[in-house]
Amino acid sequence: MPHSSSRRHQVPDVKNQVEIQVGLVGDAQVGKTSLMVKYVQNIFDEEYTQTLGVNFLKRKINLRSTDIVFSLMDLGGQREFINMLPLASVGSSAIIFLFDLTRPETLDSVKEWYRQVYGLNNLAIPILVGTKYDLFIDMDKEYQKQISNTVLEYANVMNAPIIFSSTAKSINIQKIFKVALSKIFNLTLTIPEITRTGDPLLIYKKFGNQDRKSSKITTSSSQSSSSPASVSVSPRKSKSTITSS
Amino acid sequence: MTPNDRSTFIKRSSENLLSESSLQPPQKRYSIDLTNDSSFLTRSNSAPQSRIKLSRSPSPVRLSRRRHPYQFTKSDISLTPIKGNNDIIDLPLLKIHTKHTSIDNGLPSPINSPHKKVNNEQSCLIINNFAELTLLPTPTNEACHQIFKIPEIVDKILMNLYLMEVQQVNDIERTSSNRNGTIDSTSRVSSTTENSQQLAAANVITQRRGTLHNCAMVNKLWNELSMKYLLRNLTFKDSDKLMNFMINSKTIYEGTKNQTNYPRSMTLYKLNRFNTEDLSIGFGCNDTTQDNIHFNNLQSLQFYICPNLLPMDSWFKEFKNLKKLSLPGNKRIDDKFMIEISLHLENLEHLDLRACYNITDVGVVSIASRCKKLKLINLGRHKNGQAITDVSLVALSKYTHVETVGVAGCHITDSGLWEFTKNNGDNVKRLSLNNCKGLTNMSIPYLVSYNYLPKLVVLEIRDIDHLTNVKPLIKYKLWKKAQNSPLLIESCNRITKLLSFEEEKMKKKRALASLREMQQWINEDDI
Repeated sequence: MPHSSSRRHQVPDVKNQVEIQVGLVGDAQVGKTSLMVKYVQNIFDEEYTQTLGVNFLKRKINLRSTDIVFSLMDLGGQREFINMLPLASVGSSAIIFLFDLTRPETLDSVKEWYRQVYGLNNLAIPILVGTKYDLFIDMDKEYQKQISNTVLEYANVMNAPIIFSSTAKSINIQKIFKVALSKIFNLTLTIPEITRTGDPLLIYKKFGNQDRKSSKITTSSSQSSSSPASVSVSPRKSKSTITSS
Repeated sequence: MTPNDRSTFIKRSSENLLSESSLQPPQKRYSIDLTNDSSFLTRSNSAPQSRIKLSRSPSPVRLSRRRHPYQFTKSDISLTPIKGNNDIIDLPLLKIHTKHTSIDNGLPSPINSPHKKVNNEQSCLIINNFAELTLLPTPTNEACHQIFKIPEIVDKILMNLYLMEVQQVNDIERTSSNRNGTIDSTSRVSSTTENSQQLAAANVITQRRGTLHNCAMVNKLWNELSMKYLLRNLTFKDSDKLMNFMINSKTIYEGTKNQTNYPRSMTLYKLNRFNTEDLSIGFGCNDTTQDNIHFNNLQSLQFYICPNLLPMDSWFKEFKNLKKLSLPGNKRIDDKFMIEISLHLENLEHLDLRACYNITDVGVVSIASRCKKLKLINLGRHKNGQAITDVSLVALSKYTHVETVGVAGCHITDSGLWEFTKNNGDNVKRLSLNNCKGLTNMSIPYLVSYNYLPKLVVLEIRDIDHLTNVKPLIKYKLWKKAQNSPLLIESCNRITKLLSFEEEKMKKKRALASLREMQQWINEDDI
């Protein structure tokens, strides 16, 4: 026989593909694009570049039998781009609300951002991220305390995990997305929380949890039979499903 | 511009045109009815606007000097008094008629956007120019255009028509065969729907009698030239018409002796009572030297629902170019016939012999060993399955690179399928194994899980009672989907149920595995 059977290999297992769209919103110059670029390409650039419309980057994380793909949608912070908000929010499983820790007014406008996003997508997990922690740390202790308290209030209202981060100094960057993933799929995260004022806060355990019991890790058979193409893991998010590619 | 100026303009522009018109004093206003619904100048309060419009009009000097396209003659203009809405004075209405008024009601006036009118006129001109090309004599146009008398041009026209019609049929065939990858009924590789669509397409052409058909009825020249193309593809659904054609074939083909006119495809459909003897009588005689019709160009020969009809022996030697032979459901076809015809079918690519119960391994082997270019073979059957065994399958795999194989209802076993895929698995795109009772878990599941059939697109596994291990099939299907070459598995109720159950199970398992991995990942330490 001309064909050697040795070249035949068993068909490999197909990798599961988990696609998660995450939107980044917040005022201008709080560091949305920086955070995204830092997370995807691990580059930090001091120069400010205004985002025109929406920036889009993907990061793929290869696990043994699963690929996690984070699609990051970064919306320009200027008011004129508000009409592009649906791009960043509709279809996103998590929305990261960023504010500048050194500029309290940016935290104030998170209210408005949240209101807008909630109108478009009330299923996405909100995550409250304070940026430029490296500059914040040098500021007045009283100011730090005040800000921390306000942020905590916001987080309570939004039911959003709090993360203080610094793109320049690479503080809590990876954790933002790990927290997002754990909230989306209701996974148990065991990273210790950081709650002391003045430290880069990381408070996630009591926020952003899904209320419904059915949204446990296990996939209920009724769901999977309704959509045989993809086993939906979390009923709260329509988009975050595990599909095999 | 004062009202005075305006009146002088009207005066001047119309002085050499109007003789009897009683020009009004300057205080009076004129209504020039240029288009049907022109509101222009009819109301006193619109006067200022109209003044501006008037100022754009061509100079009266030019009007008078040479004949302008929009120029009107004396007789075209009449002044009729109209009732002004608010005015006590009756205003005369200026009506202008020119030779253009027949084209449209409004005078093409330079005041009322002349461009539009010009365009209108041009389009009229174009239509007029093409109107001269009328082929058939019309009451106004007695003779057809000269170009329709030039054979070369007519030939070009007809050739394009022919190509369009062929294209149409091919398109329908292709789309239908693409869409329903294969079969609906239990034992066919090319589905019944596909065939019915093919036939429907053919019918469309024959029923509508096609454009070519109409062309043949124009005149002698057209008839001669379109017959050339009409005779290339023969489709008959009616034995009377076929008989008629055969009797006349001598005269038909006598006139056009050159080879290009011999048929390229021949399709007979639903000639239940017609048999081969009728055919030989119809076409004159058994004496081949006097045959009126030749099949040197024949590429496709299809007899549908003609159980008693076989191609005549005398035709075989002319089948050098035959690519497609479809004789489904033929009762008379047997191994002897297959052996004889296979000697001549060196270019055959497409062989449909489903439900030809009298064919056995002998016939298939003779075809396989001689038709090296074979791409499709369908031997599906309900009866007499034991006549086709692994021998046929192995012969096909050894001698040909066949891509589509239908052995539904045949006595195929695991070892035969293994041998077949070992030799020819790389080429196979469609495989129909419906109702092959000899197959078990020892072939298909292993063949797919080791990717022995890399090009497989459609797999039919209906009613294979001993097939129970479908997990590899699902795994393979998912893998193929990930490779962007999805696999269609056609199966019966039992196997479909098994497949979907297994697929569900696998997906659930993998989703859980993913979640476990993700949980592990998020709890890992970062850099």
